[in-house]
Amino acid sequence: MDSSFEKQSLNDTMITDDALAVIAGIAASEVSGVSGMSSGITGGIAEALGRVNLSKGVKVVTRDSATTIDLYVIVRYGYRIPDLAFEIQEHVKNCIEEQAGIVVENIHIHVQGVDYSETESEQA
Amino acid sequence: MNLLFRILVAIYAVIASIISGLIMISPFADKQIMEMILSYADITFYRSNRYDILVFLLGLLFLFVNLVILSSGIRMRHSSKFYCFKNEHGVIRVSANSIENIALSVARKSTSIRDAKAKAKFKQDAVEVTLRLVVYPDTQVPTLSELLQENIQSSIESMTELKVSLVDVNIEGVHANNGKEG
Repeated sequence: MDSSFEKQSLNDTMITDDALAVIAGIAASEVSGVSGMSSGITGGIAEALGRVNLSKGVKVVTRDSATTIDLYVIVRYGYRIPDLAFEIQEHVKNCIEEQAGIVVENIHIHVQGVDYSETESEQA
Repeated sequence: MNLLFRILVAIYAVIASIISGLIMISPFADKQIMEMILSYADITFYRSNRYDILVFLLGLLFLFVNLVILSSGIRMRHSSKFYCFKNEHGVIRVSANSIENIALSVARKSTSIRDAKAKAKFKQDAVEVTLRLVVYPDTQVPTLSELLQENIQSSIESMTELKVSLVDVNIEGVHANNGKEG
């Protein structure tokens, strides 16, 4: 039992998917052109109740030591989505590699909406 | 629609649980009480014709809800509410809602539009946008729609690299506010 745990801890990084989700969520929001993360109905209710969720709009699945990340983002108006998506993927991938030392297999971007409020469009 | 559907399913589930609970209790309940309930139901609903239509409608409503739930399970798999493309890191899915937002943001810039609703539909490699507008009086509709179509097409194509095959502009109404100037 002990040895297997030790062996495991030597080979595997002991970082939970939740922790990765927080890193990915913050990294994604840092990219200019990302207005925010989209959390869906249940997340929206939790947020209305005052719970700040850093991993909102992020789904991390690790299966057979391959990590896949799904990001649900809302982008700002005026940014080219293919370029922006690539930028988000690069940034998130780099951040996770840097902070967690995990190579992410796939990062899927789900563009849930476009934010066209006036204050933001001035920068674009 | 989605929220409404969820509420519908929730109500349906509650009713179904109550009914199943009653069925579960019925063998163990007092036989006399059960008989009373059954004979009451027999006399009021079965023998007399007074509630025939009501009972029929209730059954119809139940059937309708069933059909809606059944069809939703089939429909969700076939709907193309996303436009997908791939790059080296993974898949990118752009929702129809995003396309609608782009179209709306173009429409909002025009001063002659009071209210705008957009609907986007993906057809193979292209997208079709339908705009429904309420405009202010003294609007030149042909000029406006031509401008909108051009701008919407160019901004969607530049933002998403997606071809826009169609931009339908429907004028749903003219805002009639007598005191309104400009």
